[in-house]
Parts: sequence; C-alpha cells; structure tokens
Amino acid sequence: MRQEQRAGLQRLRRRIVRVLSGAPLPIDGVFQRRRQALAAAQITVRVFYAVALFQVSNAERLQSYWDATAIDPLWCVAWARFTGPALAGSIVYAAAVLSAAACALVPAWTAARVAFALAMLQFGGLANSFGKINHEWHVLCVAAFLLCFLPAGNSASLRRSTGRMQAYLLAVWSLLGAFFLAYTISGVLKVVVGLVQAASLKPNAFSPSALAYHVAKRLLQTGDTTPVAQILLRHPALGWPGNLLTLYLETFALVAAFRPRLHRLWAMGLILFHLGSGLVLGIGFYHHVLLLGVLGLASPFAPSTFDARAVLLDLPLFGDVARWLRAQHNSARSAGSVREGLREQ
Amino acid sequence: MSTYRRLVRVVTLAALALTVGPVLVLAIHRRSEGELFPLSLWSMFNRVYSQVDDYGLRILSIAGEPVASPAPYFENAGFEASQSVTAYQAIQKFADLTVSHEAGAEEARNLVERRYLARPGVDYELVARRWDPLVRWNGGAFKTERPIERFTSKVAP
Repeated sequence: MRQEQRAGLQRLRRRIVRVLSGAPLPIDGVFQRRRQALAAAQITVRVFYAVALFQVSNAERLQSYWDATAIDPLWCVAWARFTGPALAGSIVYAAAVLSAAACALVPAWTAARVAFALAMLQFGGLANSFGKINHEWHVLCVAAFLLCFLPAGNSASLRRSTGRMQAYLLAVWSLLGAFFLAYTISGVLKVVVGLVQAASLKPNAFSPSALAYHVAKRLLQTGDTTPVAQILLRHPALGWPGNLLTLYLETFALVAAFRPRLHRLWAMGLILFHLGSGLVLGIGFYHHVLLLGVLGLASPFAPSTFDARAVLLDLPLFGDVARWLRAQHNSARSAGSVREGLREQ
Repeated sequence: MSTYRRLVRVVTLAALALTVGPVLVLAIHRRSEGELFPLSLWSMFNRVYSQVDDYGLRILSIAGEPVASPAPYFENAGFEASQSVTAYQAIQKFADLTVSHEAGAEEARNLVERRYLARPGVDYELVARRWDPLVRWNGGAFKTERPIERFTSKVAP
C-alpha cells in the first residue's frame, strides 16, 4: 500500500512537471546538450559565489553595524542581543566574506558551501534586525542552502555517472526554481487580493490607478521622491500596462523556470521590472538584478539558439492555449483524413 | 537511494517549505506577516490602499525648541534617517506594541529613538492616522489624526 502511495505521488509529481514544462525541447542532441549544460552549470555555481562575495563584502554595511546603537534581532541572530550590533556585525561579516571567498575558489568543497549557507542565515538575519524585514537576502540565503546538496566530485567523476550529472543539474536548476518561486508567490498573492478587492468594487491590482496608489502611499510614507513619480501621479493610467505585465511576469515566473526557452526572456522581464520599480517607487532590488543575470540570463539550461515561435508557444497561459488549440485542430484534421481514407477504401 | 532521487526529495521539500512555511508562520503568529527569515510570504504591494490606516510620529519640539507649526511628521521633519521605509516600519511596530500594551514596546521605542530620531530631547507624539494616498499627494489633508501618547526621546545615540 505504502509503495502504491509512493508510486502514485511520483506519478502526480511527474504529471505536474510535464504540465509546467510546456512544449518539450527536441530530443536530438540531448546527451550533448546535457554535457554542455553541466559545464555551464559548474561555471554558474562559481559565478554565483563570486556574486555572493560581491554582495556581502560591502563595507558600508559593516560600518552601519559599528554605528548602530540599538538592535531588534531576528530569531537566527538572537545572540546579537548579548554582543551588540558592532561585534555581531563584525563576526557575521567576516564569516560571510571568508566562506563566500572559499566557495568562489573551490565550489566543490562541501564544508565551505555549508559554512557559507550558515553564514548567510546569520548575515541576512542581522541585516533584517533593525525594525523591518527587507527581502534582499532571502534568495541568496535559500540558494546557499540548496547548493549544500550539490553532488561532490570533479567534472570527470560527474560525467561518468548520469545520475550524478542529473543531480548536479537539478541542484543548479533549483536555484532558479526557488528564485522564480518567490516571484510567483508574490504574484499569486497580488492576483488573489486583487480579485477580492475587485469583488468589493475597490481600487485593486488590475485598476488603471493601482500603481499610482502604490507610489503615492510609498513616497508619502518615506517623504521621498523618485524620477518618474511626478509624471505617473499626474497620469496614473501610464503605469497600467507595466503593472499588468508585472503581474503576469510574477505570477507565471515558476512556470517559466520549467521552460528553458523562457529563462532569458523572464530574467530580462524581471530585471526591467526591478529597474522600473527603482525609477518609480525607489525600490531597486539590485541584488536580485545581479542574481537574475547569473541564474536567468546566463541560464545553463536555455537553448543556444533563439526560436521566436517556440518561445511564443511556451508563454504561460497564452502559449498553452495556442498549443491546445493547435492540438485540437490537428487531431480534428487527422480524424478527417482517416475518415476520408476509409471512405476511399 | 541514488543521488538524483535524494536531490529530488530535497528540492520538493524545499519548495514545500518555501510555499507552505510562510502561510503556517502567518497562521501561528499574525503579526509576523508570514516572515520567518529566510521564509517569506513575499507580500509586497498586493493590496491597493485607497485608504491607509497607520501611525506617525508628530515632532513637537527638539531640545525644547518648538518645530514649525503645524508640527510635521517624522518623514517630513528633516531627520537624517527619515526617508526610509525601514524607519517607517519600525515606527509602525513601536506604535502597534504601545497601543496593545505588549511586551517589547520599550525595545521598539528604544530602536526608533536611537536609530531613527538619533538625538535626545525630541518631544513627539504617536498619532493614529487615516488618509487617502492620491488625495494627500495632491496636497489634501489626513482624513483623521488621533494622538495616542506623548514621549520625549531619552537616549543619546
């Protein structure tokens, strides 16, 4: 019974993955593509740690800990209550920088990767211990934990085993998957809350003035201003297309992660979204821009050639409907030709 | 079990933790807003507010010197750390805890005074406000302003 349940769960998982994956990539050259993807994925891992090193080594952050006189520590850095922010900041900064450097130098060293993941938990926790949880370190921290599970071994030993090669690729893909999952959670929440607000006839996520409300609220809260805020608040409908496109990009980001042809397109879309929100709302999320570049734009899984038609057919929702309609049309046509053949006989 | 199968399990569990975890965190502790670093509900700009209910710090005087009349709120009072959403959220937490007389109010006040007001002798009051963002952006007034409690920052940075 237990085995049956397990088999049932596996079938369900495979079916979900198949639905999410859209049109399969051509079977020709699959082994060569996998070897190329492995080589690219190994570079991705090293670059990821180099980027992480760049992000954690900002000395201004360390200075801000030395200047800080009060702290409201999160659960993972509760010990900082006893050391104070200056000493805690120094310890966490050193741990994060040293472990990131070790990982960038020797990404195959499991102990270094585990140390970096633990250091990131402390680093992100401390950064968020001053009154508000910001979201710049979540993705890096989760990715660092996922990378702890990279299969050990050098390129040659990985290539000798299909299972280990697949495992390595899955671990690297999971970084993009976890990253895009965060956007999907955010997008789905916006859509659900938007529908609830729309049902009660309130301004909602789909309203032409939605972005204007967000901008006005945010900038009045902080007494700040941004380059594009004035124009947008004078003409609220200008932000409508961008807002709807963002909803689409965010909501279906996880689906895009399952469709290698969309990796670059989605990464660029999300980068533009972050640049736009920096110009409009003053929220840049530039940490994410860099990670989107490494994991999305330079995705080891994206095909080397760009086929516009295949990309369009892979678009979540629109592409799925188009493929379904095409499949219906083809099956009706083939049924028709079978009938005609039978009639001729 | 093969390396690949083990990893499939890890990734599936991670996906579950990242999606279900924040919802559980929210269900257990409502004020957490689904945040238990590194788990997050990524709840940002999901609700469009045509009416905002929040708290503000109205700055009445600094070192005994009254500031401009009408007294400005913290975000417009020219403090070095004022144009920050982290400061805004710290003020909301301080006000929430103060209004509900919960433990941690003193620590939250300490954080606001030390890190964001960053000087002693600032006389201020906590105010519950209701406002329409677009109306206020175009120069309109708050719909309501209700003073809650008056404080003087007591700790030198």
